[in-house]
Amino acid sequence: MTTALLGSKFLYACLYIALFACVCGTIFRMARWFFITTGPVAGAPSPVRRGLAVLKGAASLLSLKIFGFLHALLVGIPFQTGILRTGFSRWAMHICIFWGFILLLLMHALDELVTKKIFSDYFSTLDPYQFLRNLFGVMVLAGVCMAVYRRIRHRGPMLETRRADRFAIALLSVIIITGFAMESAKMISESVFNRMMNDFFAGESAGDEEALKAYWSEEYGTSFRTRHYTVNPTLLARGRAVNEQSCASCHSPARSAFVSRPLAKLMRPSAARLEEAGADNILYYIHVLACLLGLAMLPFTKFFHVISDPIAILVSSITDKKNTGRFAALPRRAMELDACTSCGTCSRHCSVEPVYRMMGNRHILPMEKLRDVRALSAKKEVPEDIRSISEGAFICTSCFRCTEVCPAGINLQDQWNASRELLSEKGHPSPHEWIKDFRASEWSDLMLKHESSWKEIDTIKGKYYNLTDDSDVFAPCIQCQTCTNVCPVVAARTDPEEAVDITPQKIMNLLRLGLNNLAMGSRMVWDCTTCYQCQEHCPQGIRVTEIIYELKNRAYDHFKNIDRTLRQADVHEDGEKSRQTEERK
Amino acid sequence: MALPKSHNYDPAHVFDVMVIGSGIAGMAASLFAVDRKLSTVQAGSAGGTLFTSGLLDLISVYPIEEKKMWADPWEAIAALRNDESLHPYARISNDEIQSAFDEIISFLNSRGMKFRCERNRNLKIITSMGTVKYSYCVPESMWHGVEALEKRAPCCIVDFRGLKEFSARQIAATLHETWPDIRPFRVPFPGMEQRNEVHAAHLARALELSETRIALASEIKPAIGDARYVGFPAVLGIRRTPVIQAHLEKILGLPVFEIPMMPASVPGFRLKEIFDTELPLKGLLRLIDKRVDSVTRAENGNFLLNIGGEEQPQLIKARTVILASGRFMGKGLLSDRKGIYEPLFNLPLSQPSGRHAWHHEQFLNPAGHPINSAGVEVDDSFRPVDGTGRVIHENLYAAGSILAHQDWMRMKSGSGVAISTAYAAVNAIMRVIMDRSIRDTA
Amino acid sequence: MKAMKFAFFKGCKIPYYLEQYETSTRAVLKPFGVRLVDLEFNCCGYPNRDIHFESFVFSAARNLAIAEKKRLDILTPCKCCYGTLKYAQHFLKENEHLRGDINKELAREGLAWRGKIAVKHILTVLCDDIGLPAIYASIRSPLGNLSIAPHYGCHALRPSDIVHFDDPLAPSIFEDLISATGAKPVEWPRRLDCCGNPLWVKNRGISLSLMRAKITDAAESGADCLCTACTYCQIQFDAIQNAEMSEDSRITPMPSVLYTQLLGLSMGLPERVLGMKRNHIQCDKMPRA
Ligand code: SF4
Ligand code: SF4
Ligand code: SF4
Ligand code: SF4
Repeated sequence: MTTALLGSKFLYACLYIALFACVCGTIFRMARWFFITTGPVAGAPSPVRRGLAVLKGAASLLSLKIFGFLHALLVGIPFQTGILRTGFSRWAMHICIFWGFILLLLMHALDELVTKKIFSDYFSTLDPYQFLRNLFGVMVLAGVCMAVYRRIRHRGPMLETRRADRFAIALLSVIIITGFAMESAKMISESVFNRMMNDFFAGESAGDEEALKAYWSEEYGTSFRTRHYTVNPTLLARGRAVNEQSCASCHSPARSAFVSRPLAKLMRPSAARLEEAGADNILYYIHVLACLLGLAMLPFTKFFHVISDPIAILVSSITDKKNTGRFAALPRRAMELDACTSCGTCSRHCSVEPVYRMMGNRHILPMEKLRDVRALSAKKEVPEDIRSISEGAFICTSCFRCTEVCPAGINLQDQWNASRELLSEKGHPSPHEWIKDFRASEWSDLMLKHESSWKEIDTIKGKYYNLTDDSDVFAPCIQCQTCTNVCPVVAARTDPEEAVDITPQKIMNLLRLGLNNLAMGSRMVWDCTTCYQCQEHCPQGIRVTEIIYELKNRAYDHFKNIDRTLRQADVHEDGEKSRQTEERK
Repeated sequence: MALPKSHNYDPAHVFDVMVIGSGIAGMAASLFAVDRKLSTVQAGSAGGTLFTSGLLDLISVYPIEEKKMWADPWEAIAALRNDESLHPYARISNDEIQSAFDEIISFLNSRGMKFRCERNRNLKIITSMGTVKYSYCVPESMWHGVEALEKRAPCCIVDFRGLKEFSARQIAATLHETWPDIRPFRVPFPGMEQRNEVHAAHLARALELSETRIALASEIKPAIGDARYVGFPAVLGIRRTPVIQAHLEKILGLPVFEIPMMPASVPGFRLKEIFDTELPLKGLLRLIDKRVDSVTRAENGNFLLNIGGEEQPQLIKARTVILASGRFMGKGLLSDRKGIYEPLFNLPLSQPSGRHAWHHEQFLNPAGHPINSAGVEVDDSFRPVDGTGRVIHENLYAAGSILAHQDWMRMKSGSGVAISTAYAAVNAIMRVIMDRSIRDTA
Repeated sequence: MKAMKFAFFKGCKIPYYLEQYETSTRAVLKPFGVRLVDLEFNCCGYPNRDIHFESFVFSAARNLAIAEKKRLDILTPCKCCYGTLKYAQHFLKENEHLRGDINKELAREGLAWRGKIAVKHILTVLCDDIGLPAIYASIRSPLGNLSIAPHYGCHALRPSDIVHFDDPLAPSIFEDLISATGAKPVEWPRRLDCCGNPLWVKNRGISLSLMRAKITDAAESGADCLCTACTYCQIQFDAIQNAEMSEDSRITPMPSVLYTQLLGLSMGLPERVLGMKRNHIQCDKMPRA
């Protein structure tokens, strides 16, 4: 029977190969969830630990959490409420593709296994099945069209179309279009008609066959190469009667195939050539092979999200967004990396999206951040753009909004926490941390050595404000120390490293002496708590806090591209020491 | 609620007085004005009163050339009047001066910063340099220092590692001849042990917490020995100084005192805090960090003062103005190549004839320099006048160091001139208002 | 009373770190006929000001423009958001070049900053827009016996010429509002100081020592409880104090409540909206909601 299902040993073999690939691939992908480490590498637990933690997490289902779980299972996933929250058009698109495809799969592809078992009267060419097949196909196709439209209309960093997306769209289109085309090709095919005739039709009286042909030609669009009759109403009426008697039990009227029938009409002029080429067969092969290709590649394409997303959604339904278990979080994060469909929802709603627009660093956007997480966890070596990645990772307000909107239920917030830890571990922490790598004087020396890394910036600096280079701003300082006296940070310094004794008032003095470079890397500038006490109290009305802000901005711009792996020893023009470092390397 | 908020006032309101300046003179003028229920607005920089040592001097040196020190300030003032000096004190009676001090002091006392004075004599007090100076009125927190100095009692003077402006050892060395029983003692300040530079204001704030005081006392105790007093740099809190002092005296078992430091000093902060927080409660509209850019006069004589800058003019209307903007540091006076000028009202000034005459030949001339006595000339109501003695605007007054014919720094009369001239100016305004209202009701 | 309507600017932290601030704010404003409208705002811009001025201004400007499009004034319960939006407004007003560029970027999504709307902090709305008499009239169970130390918070107060919140050296709005609840405002030396939160992830040592000084001071001044009106200050004094200082034997924990909670309590609002139990450190002297 299964042979009949596919009608060919070859396809039958392909099916098993594809199934095998799919199962193995899926197992492989899922197993990886327990081995990939996102977040800090040091002290990462063993795969077994992670596995146990997951089981323990699953055990928590035996509590009130079950209701949340069931809700996700019975409402969230089938009705895709997660996507609905992100916008109606996207939801409509996705629900079309999702339900269209699922129903085609169940009703049509697995008809022998599913539909027939449920509806004993199932026959693919009967209504409502014929109609529904067309309907589902149209749903998928409409969804795909919407997807293409959206991707063109909203293209940009929020919705980027990559290879994986193109492949998925193309494959879906191929499957559905070949499906329709095949149905149409069958309709117009004389040989198919003849085969059916031979198999199922025993003409009772002469002329029945002609009448039936005339009727089919008219009703179903079947194209007969040679015609031995003239079409007239009587013939058609007879044809209809014959059809009623012999065929209608298996063939609903063609009108319900509301896509295939018009398509058949279109194809009719070239029916002969199609017939000759065995189009229906070719289309059939393409159709099935495309399906099998999709099946085989499922674990390695975007289609994998049909497995990973429901899992991610279910997991998120039973876990606390803020307190993720230490061990269970690891496989979860790895799983979530597979669940992201790059839909861009998170990026569109991200609280710091405007920062991205001004700074232009795409790693600020959560969708990109997640990609970075994947890249960092996959590779041993440090990516080239690690500094931009780190910049992006730390420009985030931990607002949970991306986590909130992600239709796949990914706990992005946890991903960010982990990836920031990892980046710190790799030596690329937040600016406030790496600025401490060197002392102010060392930064100033480093700047001299790395002029190229910031020279460009200097041409655009002070586009809007230029407080730190404009002596009118700080020259009125009378060095009265009021700013220092009211500064809580100066008062609170205890760590001797921090107490390098640069105070707000001394910063003003450094500016007066033109030693801006020295001020930029000072602890005072980076430890300023922005309380504006100094500015409020300065008897000369100097905008001390704003000057400090600008120094921070400038310092960041100037220092961020300097290679910090140079250790202190290299900072100074000390040949011997740098040679030693060379050797160490 | 009815109190004016500094950024939230009715622009149509006509104030009785606008005080320009936020030094001692400006603050005193504002206090006197609000005490007399005048609707008052004050503009000036945020830090005016910071630049005082906390001592309220009346006068102790006259004439400057002789550097003659007076134990009795009133005798000095009498001598000054006798010489027909044009000094502002010659325009105010002793009673008025005393009342001005009384009013200020009772205000400060009631707000937790107590002062002591002995009406007919200057008090002797040691400074952070180890010198001894006269002052008329000293903060209560320094009083035991006056006693100790008088008795030459055995005394331990504490200083803190990293506090640059104050060295107990230097004080002991300087005073050695006259007061041998001083023991300097240096301790790290609790909680700031690691630091090689500490700031007086931060120490003061830290001492507001009792745990710091306890830690400090335990550092000091071993060094006390037979000392009868313990002296500190003036860092005993910006607020709550009496509490802090009493607490330290209790745990140390000895009277303690503060030694004044150079401005901007902690007592300066105390004064600033009190003026900043208490005057608005009395109804003063305080425009912090607002400078008056320009002034015009309405037809009825009222002043229209722009505090918003050229682009966004913001006008204050006032019936009278007290100009207490100080000399060069307060930007009350400016100088260019031609000489010095008063930027706001362009008042005629008493000044040396040319830049070359600003200073005497020797820079350290004990008599000071002519430029140190330059300023605005006034009549007996403290209204600026021109060279012929004609009043410039009948509703414009001047007070404090902007006045001519006084070298407050060398005469040690800064606070006294500021307070008493502010008092005189406000009273003159009151007299005009009273006259007018009597006229109006008659 | 005339109906008031504001765009409600929550900021990034309230929804997940301080939900009680949102619920209590809504609850205390409701009886006064204040309607809060939710718009999709982005980060106020503060966190990025350290490293990139333009993106701070643009973030804030976008928020302002979103509210402006709806012709709504902004009400925010967070002082850092308040300050940041005000600073940005100031820079946009002052600097034509900046304004031009920012508006160009805003125009791409049909927005514009024209400076037509006001930014208000909840305390200002309570004290000035609703007014103390109405507040007094709404009190059902005055909180006698409680000594409350108001913590002013830096970014609402300074620099005063930009934020226009209250007198920067002698503010009184918070004390006035606390008195209305029947509690006693405590006078304490460090009331205008920084809570330390801005340095929390940048320099933990200093951040904690700023907080410790304030807590000790409040305790010595006889406060039963601190009172904040800012998301970050509250997080610092509540969650962070609880997590970081509980081992410090030198200090007994000093509870901190949000002003909206305090007011709600005296208005007799239920725990469900006030969320007192969500605070990490409980104040024993506080009556139960
Ligand atoms: S993380 Fe979620 S919201 Fe963001 S792109 Fe991936 S699936 Fe979409
Ligand atoms: S948590 Fe970070 S990445 Fe996510 S929306 Fe907020 S700011 Fe954007
Ligand atoms: S307070 Fe102002 S004038 Fe005084 S040192 Fe600081 S910046 Fe200079
Ligand atoms: S703004 Fe910064 S420099 Fe100024 S007083 Fe505050 S912490 Fe100190």
